[in-house]
Parts: sequence; structure tokens; C-alpha cells
Amino acid sequence: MDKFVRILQELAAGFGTTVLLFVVTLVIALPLGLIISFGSMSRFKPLKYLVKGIIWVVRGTPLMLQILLVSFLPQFVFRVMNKDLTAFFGISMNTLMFIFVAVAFSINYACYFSEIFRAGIEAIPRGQYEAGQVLGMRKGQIFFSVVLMQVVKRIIPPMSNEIITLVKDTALAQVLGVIDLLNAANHAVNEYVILTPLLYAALFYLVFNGLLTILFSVVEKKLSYYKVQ
Amino acid sequence: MSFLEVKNLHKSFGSTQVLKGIDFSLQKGEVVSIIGSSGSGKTTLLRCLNFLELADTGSVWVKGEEIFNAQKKYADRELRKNRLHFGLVFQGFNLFPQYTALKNVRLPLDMQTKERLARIRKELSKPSAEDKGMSSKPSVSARINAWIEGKKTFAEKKKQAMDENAVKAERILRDVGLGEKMNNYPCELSGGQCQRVAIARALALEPEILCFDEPTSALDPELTGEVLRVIRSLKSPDRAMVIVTHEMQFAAEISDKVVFMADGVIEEFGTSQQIFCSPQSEKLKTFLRNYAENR
Repeated sequence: MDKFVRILQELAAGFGTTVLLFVVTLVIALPLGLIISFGSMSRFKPLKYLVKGIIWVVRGTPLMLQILLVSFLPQFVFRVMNKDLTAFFGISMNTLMFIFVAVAFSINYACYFSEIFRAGIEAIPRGQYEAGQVLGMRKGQIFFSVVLMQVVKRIIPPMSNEIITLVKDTALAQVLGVIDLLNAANHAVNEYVILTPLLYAALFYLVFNGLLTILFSVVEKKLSYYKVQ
Repeated sequence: MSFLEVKNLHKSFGSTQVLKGIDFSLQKGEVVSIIGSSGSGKTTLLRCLNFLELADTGSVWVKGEEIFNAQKKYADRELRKNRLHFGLVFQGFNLFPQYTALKNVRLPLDMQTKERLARIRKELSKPSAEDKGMSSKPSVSARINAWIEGKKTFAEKKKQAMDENAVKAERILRDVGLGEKMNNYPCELSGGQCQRVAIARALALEPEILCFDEPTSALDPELTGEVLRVIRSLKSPDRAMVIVTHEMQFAAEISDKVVFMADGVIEEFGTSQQIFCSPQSEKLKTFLRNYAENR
């Protein structure tokens, strides 16, 4: 019994890290994705192709590779050792690794989100913009008061897909030794030589994604009072 | 001096010339219908008046003031301001689906209110000449108090203005016969009701010239009546109306003047009587004959 409680505690700690990574990634990647989508739709060609190039690279290479790359950047490009970084910012090595992972995740997911935003924005009929224009609205007013809510409604299904994938992708954090849920489970398996921690971990992921699925269907229902063309 | 004057308007899309020199004028209180077969440039003309398209050459004058000249460059802000002389009702309504009928009508009013208040606030926050001359600065607490007072009076002013907007929007919606449907969303309304909301929305900003782009073309035949009735009721000595339509009966009855367009030019321009009862050009005669045969 004592063992069970200890395993559960370790998994809970790992789950905390997983949730933190999930939340940090969403908070950074959602607005960043919107900004990137504006870049990829820009009428200024050089910017447009630069952004599209970045999206191509980020979506075209493994996330795990990107995490490793980010973690080596300070040493190989800026000639700063990790231990100097931790000393300078007064953080632990674990926190530094977590930050590397979060940066890689945010950039990676922002690029995926940006394509979803772009699809949503481009699907809004031109008439909506024109109606705003003839009513004397500014571009910003049209986007935030007229277009955005319609985009949100449109992109909920693809977004929920991507966000559920994010929950499971957090397991990649362990390439830098971050103790996330799966890593914690793996440790427990090795330590106690039993398989059940992996099943518990699976349960954690399932419940988390189950809650997200419910949340998304609630939001979808909440927004069903209007239809977009 | 004409209320609205359009001079020598040209517009091309790529190599296709859609408008090949349009001139016409309109007096206050007049209704002008624009008729013609599809592809003749009617809608493009209307869009040029509302600056949804910018004409390649030509100018637009309202009450003797040049509000658009193709030779000049206009900042977005100027276009926005000048555009407000005109209102436009679209063929496809283009209501904002996430808002109720009332909110659709209020939204542009509320935005203008907010912008106006923000401007006043900016003016007020500038230190006046007197303040600059003062040698001692007011104490921090006095400044904080003044700031809070300012915030309070502003909140009151804003609320008052917003309430006025609501009252106005409700009155207009009642005028178009939608007093019962104010809190419905566009998806809950029929096409005719949607178009009436769109008309109310255009009216809220009190444009001097109200334009209609085939307002009944997207409607089921049995719903056109209610919309045409509303448009008829809008004829007023205070505003002019420009109506692009395929409803000849309606055009003949409501219009003071009729423009017949063909191939990007005004082929014939005259009173309703002249155009429908004694057409001169061959093209107009053919057009009216075809129309009579097809109905």
C-alpha cells in the first residue's frame, strides 16, 4: 500500500510538470500562432515567404530534434554554458531544461496553430469585411469585433485535435531529462520492477484528454447560437 | 448644386473595362434606380460610390464637396470618413452572425461613440496652458482624485451615450417592422427579415445617400414584398437613394430618375416615365422587351 501511494505521488508530480508544459505552450503558442498567421497572409511578399519558410522548417522536422536543437543553441551559437545560465538567472538545471522544452514546444505549436488560424480567417466571406467597411469601421475593429468570433467558431474542431495531440507530445520533454508524467512512470517501472505505473500514466493522459474533449464540446455547444456562412 | 455628382468614373479589373466613363447627378430627396443586364457594371458603380472599389479615374462629389478623386491618394482614415456619406445594403445581407439583430444595428453606433469619447478623453488629458504656467505641481493625491473623478464622469457619459444608441437602434428596428425580433440572431430570421435588419443597420449611421445592391435578388419571391415595402417607406426629402435592381415594376414606381446601363456606360438616363414608357435607344428597348417576355 505504501508503495502504491509513493508511486502515485511521483506520478502526480510528473503530471504537474506535464500540465505546466501544456499550459505554458498554449498560452504562448495561441497568440504567437495568430501573429504568425498574419505574417503568412501578409501582402508584403518577402515577409510572407519568410514566414512560410519558417513554417515549412518547423513542421517539416521532428519536434524532438527541435527540442535538442534549442537546448544546444546557447552553447554552440552563443558560447554560453548551461551552468552559467542557471547561475545568472538563479534557476535550477531542471528549470532550465524545462524552459528549453517550453520554447521548442511553443514555436512548434505556434506554427501548427498559425495554419489553423489562416484557414479560419481565409474562410470568412469577404462580405463580412465589406459590411464592416461601409459601416465606417477600422481594420482592427472589423477583425476583433466581426471576424474573430466567427474564426473561433470555425477552428474549434481542428484546434481540439491539435491540443489533444499536444497533451501526448509533452512526453517528448524527457529527451532533456525533464520529469514529466511518462518519465515519472518509467522511473517507477524501473525502481519497483512492476508494470502498473505505465497503466496509471495512461489513465492520467486519458482522463486529461477526456476532460478536454468535454470542454471543447461544451464550448462548441455554447457557440451554437449562431451559424457562420 | 447637385446633392450627389459622379464625374467620368472609369474602373477596370485587369484588362476588363467595367466602367467606361460614368456621369450622373442626383438631387436631395431623389430616388434613382440603376437597371441593366448583368455584367453592365451596375454593382461596380455602387461599389465605387462606397469605396469598396476605388475608381481608376473620375471623381465623386457630395453637396459640392469633392469626397473622392482618383488622382489623389487617400489615407484609410479619410476614406472611412468620406464613406459615411453613403450607406450600402448588400444583396447577401452580410449581417454579423454572432450578434442579435439589435446588436447588429448598434455595433457601428457603439464603435463611433467609443471612438468619440476616446478622442475627447485624449483632448482632456492634455495639460492646458494654465496648468503649464503653474509653478507648483498638484499633489499626487489630488491628481489621483482628479483621475478617479474623470473616470467616473466618463463612465456616466459613456453609459448615457450607449443607452441612446440602444434607443435609436430599437426605434429603427421597429420602423422596419422588426420590433418583435430584436433579440433574435440572424440564423433565426427569414431572408426578408435579415434584409430588413441590414437596412436598419445601414440607416443607423444616418447616411445622406443610401445605396441598395439588388436588395431582393437573394430572397424567395414571396419575401421580396416586405423588403420593397420598407425601401418604399424610406423615401424622404432628407436623403437620396440609389437602387440597383431587377424589379422593374418597383423601379418604375419608386424612382424619380432611372439609369439604364449597358457595357459600362450609361446608355440612357431619364425620369421613370421616359425610361419605361418611351425608351429611345435600341439597347433599352431590347432590354425591356426581354424583361417583359421573361416574366
